[in-house]
Amino acid sequence: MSNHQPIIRVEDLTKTYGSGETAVRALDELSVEVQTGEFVAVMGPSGCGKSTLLNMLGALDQPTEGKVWVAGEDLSKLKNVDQFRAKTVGFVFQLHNLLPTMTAQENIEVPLQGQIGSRKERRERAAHLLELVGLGDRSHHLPGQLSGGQRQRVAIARSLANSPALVLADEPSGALDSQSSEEIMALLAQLNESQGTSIVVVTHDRRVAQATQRVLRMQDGKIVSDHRITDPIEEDLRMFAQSQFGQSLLANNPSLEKFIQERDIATLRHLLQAYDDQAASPEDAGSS
Amino acid sequence: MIFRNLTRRAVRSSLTLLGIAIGVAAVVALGAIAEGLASNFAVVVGGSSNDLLITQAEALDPALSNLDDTIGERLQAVPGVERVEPGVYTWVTTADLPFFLLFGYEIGSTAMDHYRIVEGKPVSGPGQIVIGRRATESIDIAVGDNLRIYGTPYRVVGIYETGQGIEESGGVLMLEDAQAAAQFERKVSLYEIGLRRGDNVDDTIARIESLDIDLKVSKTSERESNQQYEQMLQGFAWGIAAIAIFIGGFGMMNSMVMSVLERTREIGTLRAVGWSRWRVLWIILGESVTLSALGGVFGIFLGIGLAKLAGTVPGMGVLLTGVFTPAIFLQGLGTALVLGLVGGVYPAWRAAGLRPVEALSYEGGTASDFQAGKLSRFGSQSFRNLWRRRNRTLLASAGIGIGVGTLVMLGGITAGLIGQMNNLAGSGSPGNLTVMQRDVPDMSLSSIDENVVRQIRAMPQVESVSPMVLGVVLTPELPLFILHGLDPNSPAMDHYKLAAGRRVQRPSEIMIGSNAAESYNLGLGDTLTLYNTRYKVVGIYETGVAWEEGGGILALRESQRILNRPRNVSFLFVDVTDPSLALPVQEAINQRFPKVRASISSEFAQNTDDIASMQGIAAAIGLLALVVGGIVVANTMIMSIYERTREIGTLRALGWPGKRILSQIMQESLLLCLLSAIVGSVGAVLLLTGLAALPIPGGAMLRPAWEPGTFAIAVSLAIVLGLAGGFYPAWRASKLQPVEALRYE
Ligand SMILES: Nc1ncnc2c1ncn2[C@@H]1O[C@H](COP(=O)(O)OP(=O)(O)O)[C@@H](O)[C@H]1O
Ligand SMILES: [Mg+2]
Repeated sequence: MSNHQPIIRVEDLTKTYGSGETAVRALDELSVEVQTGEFVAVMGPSGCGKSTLLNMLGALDQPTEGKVWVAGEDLSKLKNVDQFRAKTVGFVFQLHNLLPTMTAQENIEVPLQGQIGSRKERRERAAHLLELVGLGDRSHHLPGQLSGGQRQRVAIARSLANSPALVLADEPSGALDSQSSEEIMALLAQLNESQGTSIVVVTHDRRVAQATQRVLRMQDGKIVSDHRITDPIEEDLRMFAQSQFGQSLLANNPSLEKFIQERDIATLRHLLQAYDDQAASPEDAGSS
Repeated sequence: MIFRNLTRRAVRSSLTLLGIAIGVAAVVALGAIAEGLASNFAVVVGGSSNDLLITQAEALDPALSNLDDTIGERLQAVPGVERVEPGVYTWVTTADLPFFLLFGYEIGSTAMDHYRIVEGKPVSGPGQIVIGRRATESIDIAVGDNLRIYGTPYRVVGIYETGQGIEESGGVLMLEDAQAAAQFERKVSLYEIGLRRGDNVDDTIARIESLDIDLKVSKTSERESNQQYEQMLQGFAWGIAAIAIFIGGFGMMNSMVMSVLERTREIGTLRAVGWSRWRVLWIILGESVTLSALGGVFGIFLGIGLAKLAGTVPGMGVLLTGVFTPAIFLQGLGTALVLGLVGGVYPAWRAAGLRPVEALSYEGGTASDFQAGKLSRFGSQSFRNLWRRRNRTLLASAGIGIGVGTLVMLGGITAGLIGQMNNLAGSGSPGNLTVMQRDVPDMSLSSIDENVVRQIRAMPQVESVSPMVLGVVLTPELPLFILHGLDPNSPAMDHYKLAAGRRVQRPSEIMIGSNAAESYNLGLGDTLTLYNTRYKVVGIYETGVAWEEGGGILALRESQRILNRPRNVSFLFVDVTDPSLALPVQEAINQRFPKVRASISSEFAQNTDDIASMQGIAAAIGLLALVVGGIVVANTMIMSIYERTREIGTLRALGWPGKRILSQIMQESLLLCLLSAIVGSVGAVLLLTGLAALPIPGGAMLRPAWEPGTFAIAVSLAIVLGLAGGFYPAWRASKLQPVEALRYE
């Protein structure tokens, strides 16, 4: 796969749920392109269509209109959807969705079944991936015996089982405490760097987005901003300034501008913490 | 609220309802049929315009009654008696007529008039028969045709109606013809008596009773069914229904437990907002009782339908015509309510006992609720998923296991019976044949004329013939005592190994089996009373066959006397001169004597109708178990895939094809059923072994034999159940859309 070919190409993608009066337009003529090897964050208020977009990319659902190509394949013309789901993309869910009756190792083997023939090879591959996510010593634990962060790491290892070209993660740290959440993002970043896997991660958490190279902001089924991150602090401030919360703070406290210009780190930390806190509750973040 | 909770899981609720309905339907249909059988029999030969009916005292049913045809003269001499009309009443079984009642009366008698001719003319001489309206419906026959009974053709001269189904599915011959056809020479089944007008009926009855013959006198107007017989039928009906009830009950409990589990959070919320324990208990019980009451009503209709359907079975339908009494419907509804209460109490108690805090933090179906038990990492995924919901698996397999277990028990008993019958007297050497009357529905009805014995004895290849009379004594003192009449010098006598004492030498002596000695506490020198005659125990024998050991042996003539079958025997054991001649002799006997059937002794049992009807019952119960068990399996598997919806969605999202999920769920269903089959089989073996060891007279009769075939049937039943019950849930699971499934809560 050449680096110049986009891993994702989405053209005028529309998804409508239901019909008539109760119809919901979850995606509205959305278009975007992601290059091979990119690490992209998708942000936006709850209900803006992030999960819907990810489901389309992973061929879990069919678009109402528009086209999606992943790794050069037109998803509307897929011959074997199961094969695509198993090999081309890897999915990480918010609630890990590990199978409770399977050990960590067996969970990782799930997507390998039907792909790799021999049992021994599957076992080796699973063991290797567990090592990769730092859980080599937990291979025979059941999900019920692992912490939240560990479960999510198993889920990431599972998404990598068939060395997919693209990993799709829908709020992978949404249910975790902040430390585990940072660990998960660091793991994803490391995978992106060392394996060259393209990653699209949906998140509410600004700090999570910081770990990525590009942030797509969505609103009402559309992408409203798309830019690359160069300096993390600068990006933080930009997002703060763009947010409703930030704008109202700035309007009320003109002196804040000074702090920003002078880059008073201590004060800024306070500000961003307050911003994080209100963004953590999706209701507030999503309300207009 | 109750109703809304039930409709929320419509498929599950309806399956549960169906399970209960089938249990109730079994109660209603079988109850009605048993009632119908009992009351129909009561009316047979009771509707005549004669006043009294006289049968043998010990006979359960007129068909089993045997009276000397000389008694008639003595009855005629009783003051107050105007008419004495002998009658023969028996069953006939032929290929075309599985249950055909044969009546024989004197031509022109009042008893004969009971059969009102609606077409043709009445019987006026030998070789003629009139048949009932219902019989013409099940066999294709009309006036002028010939009807063969045991090889003898009778010309149909008329068709009658009596308004009574069982009577109308039979035929009437003249007395002598009926005696010949039924091998009732010089004997009759019953006497109908017309009384002189004006005399006191009870005085006349008292005078008849004081004749001191073993007679039962009943007024035709008041004839009731035999209590014992009716109880037996009803017990039997309940026995079968109980299987359906048990399976349905476990299914019900399963469903309710499941519905409580999945609503744990909701219940926690209700408790947190101040609902009392009792209120929660009440709601859950209410749900379960509502469901079962609906099932009960539905089941009653289903039961009526089934009974009506059974009544249309050609040939046998008339026997299965249900009589519906309010009591039967009440029993059906009662069963449903008991099921609802029993099925709901545990779940309701569990729900009420939930602590609000725990209930609120419950996450059904997610990772944290599958904790590391001993077996949690053992075995395949199918096993682990069953282990994960052990209680449910246990309930479901208990239900299915009861069905499978019943089949295994019946199989074991049947095999045991076959084994015992094949070891009956006379089967000692390979060159043995056993001869009984052809086409009798019950072995105890077999009857062979002594002329046949003489003729077989005269065949050159035959070394010896041992005739035997078999009678069943069912009295409170001797429940199930099998009486054998056998010539003490006959070769078949060698079969009875003396454990103590000596063989019978006089008519007043009896040998008893070791079981009988034990259960009735009898020893050498004690006396035993049978049919008002006292016998001295002179020997105790062993044979290894339970019912032989549970009975006794009288001299042949003596037993013929007290059983009232002179010059007539039940079985013959034939020894041939050379074992290689057994087959040709068997064929020769069957050809020469169309009324009897000779079998190689070791194959005798398979040829009897007793075993055929046991096997028929086993098949019917198997069918019932299959239907109810299938519903339980389907219900359990549906619950199981509901709560794993997210997991199934995940598997789909990870690239598992639908087929793979289908096969996974099918495996689980099969495993569940196989577990049930094992539980049921083990349970059945333990239960029967325990029963057989109990020191009760009937217990010793149960000597089950375990054959691989029986267990093979249990396992096949389990496989069929697993496939049938698992298919719909598995198919549904494989069709789940990943996005929908992942959003499921
Ligand atoms: N299966 C569905 N059926 C109906 N509406 C849906 C479905 N999935 C999502 N929606 C609606 O589409 C919109 C976008 O949802 P989603 O993509 O889940 O948002 P989010 O950005 O929070 O992930 C929401 O309004 C949601 O209610
Ligand atoms: Mg979402």
